[in-house]
Formats: sequence, structure tokens, C-alpha cells
Amino acid sequence: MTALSTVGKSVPRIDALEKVTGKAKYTIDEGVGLPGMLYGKVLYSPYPHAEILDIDTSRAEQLPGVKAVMTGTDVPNVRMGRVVLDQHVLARGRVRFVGDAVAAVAASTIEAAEEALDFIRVEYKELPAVFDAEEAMRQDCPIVLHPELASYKSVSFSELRQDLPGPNVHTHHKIRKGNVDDGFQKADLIVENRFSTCRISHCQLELPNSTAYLGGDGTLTVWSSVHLLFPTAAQISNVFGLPPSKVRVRANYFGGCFGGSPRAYMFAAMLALKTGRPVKVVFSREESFFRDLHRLPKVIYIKDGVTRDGTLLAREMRLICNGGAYADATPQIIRNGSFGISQYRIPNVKWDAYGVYTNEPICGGFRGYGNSQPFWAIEQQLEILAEKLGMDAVDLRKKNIVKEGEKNLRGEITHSIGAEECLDKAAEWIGWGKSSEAPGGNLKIGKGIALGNKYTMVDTVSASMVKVHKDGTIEFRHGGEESGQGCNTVLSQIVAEEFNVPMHKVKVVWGDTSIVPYDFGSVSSRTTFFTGNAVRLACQDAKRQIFETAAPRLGAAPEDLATGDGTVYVRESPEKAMTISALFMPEAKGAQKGALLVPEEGEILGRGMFYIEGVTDEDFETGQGTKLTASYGYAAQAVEVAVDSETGIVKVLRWVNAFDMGTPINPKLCEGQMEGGAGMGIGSALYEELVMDNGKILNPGFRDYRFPSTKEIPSGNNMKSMTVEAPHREGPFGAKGAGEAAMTPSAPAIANAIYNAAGVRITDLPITPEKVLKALRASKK
Amino acid sequence: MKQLIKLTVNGAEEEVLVEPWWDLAYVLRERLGLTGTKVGCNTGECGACTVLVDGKPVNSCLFLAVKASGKAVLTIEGLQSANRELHPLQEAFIEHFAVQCGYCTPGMIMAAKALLDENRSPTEEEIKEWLKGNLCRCTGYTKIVEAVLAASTQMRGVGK
Repeated sequence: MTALSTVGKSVPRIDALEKVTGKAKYTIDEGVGLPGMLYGKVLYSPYPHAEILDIDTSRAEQLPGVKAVMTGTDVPNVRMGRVVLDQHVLARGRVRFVGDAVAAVAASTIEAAEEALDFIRVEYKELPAVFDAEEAMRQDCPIVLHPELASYKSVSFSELRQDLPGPNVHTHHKIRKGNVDDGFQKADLIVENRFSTCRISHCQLELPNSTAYLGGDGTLTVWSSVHLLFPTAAQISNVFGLPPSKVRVRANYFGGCFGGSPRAYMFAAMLALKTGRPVKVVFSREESFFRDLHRLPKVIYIKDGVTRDGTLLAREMRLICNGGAYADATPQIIRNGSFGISQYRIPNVKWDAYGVYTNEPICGGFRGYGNSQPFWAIEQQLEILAEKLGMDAVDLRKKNIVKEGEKNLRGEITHSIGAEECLDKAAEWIGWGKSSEAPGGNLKIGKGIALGNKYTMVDTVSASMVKVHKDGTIEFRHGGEESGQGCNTVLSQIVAEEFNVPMHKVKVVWGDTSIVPYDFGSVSSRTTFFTGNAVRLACQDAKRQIFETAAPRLGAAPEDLATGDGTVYVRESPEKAMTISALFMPEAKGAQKGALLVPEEGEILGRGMFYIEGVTDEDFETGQGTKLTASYGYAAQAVEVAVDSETGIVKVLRWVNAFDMGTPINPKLCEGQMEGGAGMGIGSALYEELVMDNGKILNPGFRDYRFPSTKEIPSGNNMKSMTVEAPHREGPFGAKGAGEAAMTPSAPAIANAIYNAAGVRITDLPITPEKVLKALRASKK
Repeated sequence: MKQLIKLTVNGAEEEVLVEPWWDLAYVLRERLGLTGTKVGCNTGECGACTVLVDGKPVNSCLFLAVKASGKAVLTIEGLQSANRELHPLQEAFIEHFAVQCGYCTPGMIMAAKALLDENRSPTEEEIKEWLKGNLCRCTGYTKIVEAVLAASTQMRGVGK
């Protein structure tokens, strides 16, 4: 293989210039200042559980400027959902959480729309509500959120709706491997614990928004600030009964994503269809907290059996997941959140994970997609085991990490695993095993480490198209979403590499379902892997056409040609060359004067489609399969913290990331993912929690929901990021995903460091000063 | 009752008819088409909407437009020099990969400019203290702090 010219280099982001000059357009900038725009606002349930007895919109409708008021019966009676179809766009007859949408208004000004909400009279009959997932899960729970659950359709994973222990349970995911009872019997040490995680919110800075236009031909164009453009189009098409060809979803840059998907687009779409006018809906920050799909809170019971020498023999896990009032992506998050634990070799495993309805807000994908929560449990559990065995915690992990070629606990053959090297690098940088300098006084210093990973989903498709322009520019189109992760830059690097052209000769077209080929979307750390492969195949298809056209002119066979610097040339005799532009030129001499050299349509258009071959269905009785994921990226993080024994305040002093993302396409962008993931990880560990009171969020704003500022994250010499390269044979140039593994080990690494510093172990997130103080006091008794 | 305000935005004089409750961010974005200024909370908690009014950083989402009357407003669109050269902060943000989604970037750069105008050689800690009101969810701030440090070094060099 020849040396790579662009892939593997930290070329600057192609969108950086427009972003630092304020020229970059975000989805929220669509339609700004447009005359005739209507503004949509939504009325939400103030009750966690209630029957709607009556809605009177007559006074609201008469207000000046109000163009439409809609309630549940104005929307087709179609339930939506990612897995289980259980939710109406606007509630019909019953509301199930504080924030369930009840009515919507479109008006000529934002103020008029807001005022109209005050004039909608809704008569509710409050119903008893349930907020605790373990309580809601019981067979005899008197409160049932969806009495008609059995009649709801599933669009996927219907197998997860078997063996449900109670009427509020919508998901049960199982893993059965070996025999855990035998394993525990043979174990020298058994440790059991309970861990829990809380609700957290994505807090992407762009306010969730959507702008919808109904075109003259009946096409509904919806600008949406959330990822998954094609699935969004499908959902709009399904709910409003529009042919897929009449729904066009568009996006500009996103002001962050992280899996967050507050769906302003359904409201904008519905109001535009109703009024025939352009409608813009922008959520307030408060709205974006309760309409966000939160990270799924999980209660995790874990029991591990291990031999004296630290070999894991058996693990039993039971996870109860509070998905809130509607299932949305929760069933898939529960199932996909099981992949992370495969990084260790465990011969006997029993896993039962349940998704439960409660009268709390809905949950959805969040960076890590269900995996950060089990890591919170298992990466602390391993430290507990190590201490009891008198073993080093890094050694214990390394002893049990699966090896290349080994079958993991789900039946997949492990490939591309740099986990051990990640651990080694992180441990070395932090000075693992060396005690920290003690500053004395109230401050206790300690170190912690943890290992995580994130799979990339297997069962999706990406397509791409390449158009070669006469000026030698290579344009490519893709259906992923640029939410800041840098996919437009990375994909452009792949194109530049394939054509051997400089970056400025590559042009990217994206963010419009009517002009880009299908892609599942920028989720599951899949864009580099899937879309990258599709783009690469499209390049190769375009090059094939160039070679076939140029071959007769260059007197060589197509397979002997190559491209470089805007030319096509004979690989073995590079002096035999012609510019790509010349392919489009009228022929001066030759058979057909004036004809284009390119094929009859006058275009070079390459197509590429990528999906994984040999995908097997999971056996949902055992959780076993042979190809359940596309790849795994691994992440080790180590940290040094200071715990103030007087106040319980924990400060992160030093931080190291060591990640295996396969071959990094752009190392600096990978660093950005690691550092950003660390920031979010620190937030999730120490500061972030949506505080709930009877189903209501008490802190829906940045002042009270505190995610880290500059002050809480180490920088400069105290923040280090390193890569380990375990190339993946199916990844483009060996690359794997980078975005999501980034916070999977963060919280347990911090918890382990706190234990190391102060001898207290916190098992429920977040690790607040109050919890630390309480634990410190208890430990002194 | 709407009233006419006169203000200077990025060096150009502007007259805008505003409602008394309109904030500066709204006027910049919706009336003057300067969408480079971003709004992330509308409650002064995230700093994305930071612009300079008479050289001082303000949260434009909380700053009433009428209060800007007679004042000079500088937004991200006005930061490049007259011959379109990038400000050293803009260059440093590109070079140091301090931009991810970029939504906080305009406010972050404007806030950092106010710092460097006041303090030509801030320490890492001073930068972090100054920017603590500008939230970024993508980067973990590491590269932002790096970029501001690099820009301050660059600007001192130029000023010699």
C-alpha cells in the first residue's frame, strides 16, 4: 500500500472558516426575517398523568394574528415510535408526563402565539402517577400507563416484547450464556452490588427548532435541527399520510447533537400542513429540557463470580430502565446497551434488562447509547473485586479482556481490539500505582481508571454519490449530518485520498433528502465507518468511468490508470497523462468533432452503497449471534482527583484519554472527540442531573442544570489524549467510530479515583458533594 | 409603541424600528440579518449571544435593543479587518481545532476578544476564569483555551 496523502493527517476542518466568521448557517437560521412566516408554540400538560376531559380553543382562535390552533383530533390518529408505536403527536384523551403535548398554535408573531396558549382551556382529571421504575415494573402496579399496550404495533425488535413481568413493562432483553449458577459455584469470590444512573440532558446549544414550508406541488419541506434526516422524513410521511416523495427534510449545520432529538419538526410540519404557510418552531431552553429525550436512567443489580487469580467466571445483571411515558428508542437502547460488556471474557452470563413506562419524560439516545450506564456498574465492580483479591485493577481487567479472534460473550468473533494498549497508555500517563503527592489538609488526592467501548450498529445502509466537475472538482453527496463532529471534513479527506487531489478540490453536498442518497444518519458512531465506505465506493465508481473514458486516449488499459492532481495518467508511465478537465472538452481531432469524451449523458457520476454482509439475527432467547455489530471502538480514561473531606467537593486535576478508533482519519478531530467526551463524562459524573419532583423537572435551565464550564475541565498539560491504532478490516482505511466511546468510562474512572483518594464508593450518579460527605461520615463511624 | 433607534453595527450606521421589549440579539438576527450571533438560552446563561457594546461584552439576548441606541456594536461578522484579514483569534480557533459544532464560537471569540483587549497576556487560568460564562458542549474547552493563548501570543508579537 502506498503512503496516504490526506487520510491520517490533521487537515483543518473545512467548515472552520465559515464558523469563525459567523457566515455558517445553522438550521435555526433558516427563514430568519422571512415575511409571512408564522411562529408555532405548543401547549404542554402540567400534570404527569391525567385524562383530558375537554379542550376549548375558541378564545385562542379569535386572538389577532392567530392562524391555527390544533389539538389531538386535528392530527391523523396515527401512533408513532422508534420501536413501539405508542405516542400521538398531540395527546388524545390522556396525558402521561409533564410536557406531553396537548395543543399547538401558529400565529404571525411569537408573542401572539405565546398569548394564544394562555387562552386555551384544558379540563383535566388528574390520575395517580408512578415515577419509580422498580415500582412501575411490578405485576400488581395499580397504575397502568398504556392499558392498550398489547395492541400497539412494533416497527422493530418485537422479540423484546416477550416475557414481560408487568403491565408497564414494554421491553425485556436477555442474554443467556453458559450457566451462571455453575459459575458462581466454582467462584472463589462473589460480589453483589446495586448501582444507578440518573436522567441527564444533551444540552446541545442550538435551540431545537424546525421550519416547514408547504410547496405548490404539495411537497412539504421541513428543516430540522436533529440528526437522522431520512428516518425523520419517514416519520413525517407515516404520521401525516404523505407519500415519501412529497416529504423533503433539510438541515444546515447543527449546534451540537450527542444523540439528542427534541422533535420540533412534528409541530412545524403539522402547523404548515394546516395553514399552508411557512411555520417556524423554536423551543425555549426550558422546553428543550423537558422535550429532550433524556439519557435512560438505569438501576443496575450486578453479581460477579471470580476465581482467586482474577478470572471472571460468572456475571448476572438485572437492569431496570425508566424510559418515561413513551417507549421511543428505549427498547433499542436497552438491547444495544448490552454490547459494551462484551469487552471481557465471561463464560457464564445472565442478563435481563427491562424497559418500563413511568410518568416521567421520554428517554432516547445519548452519546454511548445505553452503554455508559452498565460501565458505571461494571468498571466499579471490577475495582471492588480487585481490592478484595489483592490484585491490581488494571491487571485484573487485562486478564479478562477478549483477544483478537476470540468469540465474545455474544458469539461475535472479536476483531480490531486495542483495549489493553489503551489501558497501558492511560495507566502510564497518570502514573498508575504511584501514590499521588499529598497536599495535606482536607484535600485527599487519588487516581482512577476505567475501560469502556462503543459498538457501531451493523444493520444499516449508507449510500453516496460522486460528481466529477469539469474544473476537476470532485463533488460528493452524503446523507449523514454535520453536527460538529467533523464528518464533512473526514469524508472529504476520504474523497481527496481516493482521487489524490488537494482538499480544496473536494466539494461536499449534504443535508437535503431530496438531493443526497439514502443514509441511516449520523448515529451509533457510524458515519466514518458506513458513510465513509459508501463515499469511497462512489469515488471508485467515478474513477472507473474516468479510466474507461481516458483509456483509449492514453493507449492503456483502464486498470492501469490512476488519478492525481486533476489528471488521469498511466500508473507505470506517468508522463502519459491528461487532465480530468480534458475529458469534458470537445475533441479537437478525432472521430466525432465537438463530442464530449465522457459517456453520452455528459456526466461522470459515481455511486456507492455500503452495508455489512453476513449480518445475523440475534437469538432473542439467548442474546447470541455471530455478527451483531459492525465494529467496536475502545476507550480508556484515567484521572487524578482531589476530594475535599470538609465539603465533599471533588475536583478533577488531571485527565488522560487513550482510545482505539482504528486508523484515525484526522487525529486532531479524534482528539476533539476524546476531549469533548471527557468534558461530558466529567459533567455526567459530578454535576449533571435532572432533578425530578412528581414528574416535573425542577432545574430546566443552564443555571440549575450545570454542565461543565471552562473551570471544571482540566486543560493544557493536565489534559492528554492518545490513540492506539487497531485498524478494522472493514473500516475505510482501517477507521472505526470515535464519538461515543468517549464518555463510556468517564464516570466510573472518577468514582474509582474518589475511592482511591478518600475510601468512599459512590454508586448512584451524579457524585454530588452531599453524597461524598455522607459517605465520608458513614465511613468514620 | 415602536421606536426608532440609531446605532453603529460593525462600523455601519443603522436605524431600526424596535419594540421596547426586543433584545439586541433579536434585532441583530431578525432585523439586520446578522445571524452569526447565536442564541442558546435567551436567559443569559450560556454566552452564545455575546457581542461587544462599546467594547464591553454583553449577553445580547438580555440586552434591550433600545439600550444600544447611540452605541457601537461589534459582532462576529465585524471582526475581520477592513481588508478581510482574519482576527488572530479567528485564525487560532481554526488552527487549534477549537471549533466543533461552532454554535458557541461567535460568542466565545467575542468574549475572548474583550479579554485580550483588556489583558494582552492572560494566563491559562485567567482565560478559563474569563470564559466560564461561555458554555461549550462539544470541545471540553481544552482547544479553546489553547487557541486563546495562541492568539494572545500572536497579537503580542504583531504589536512589537
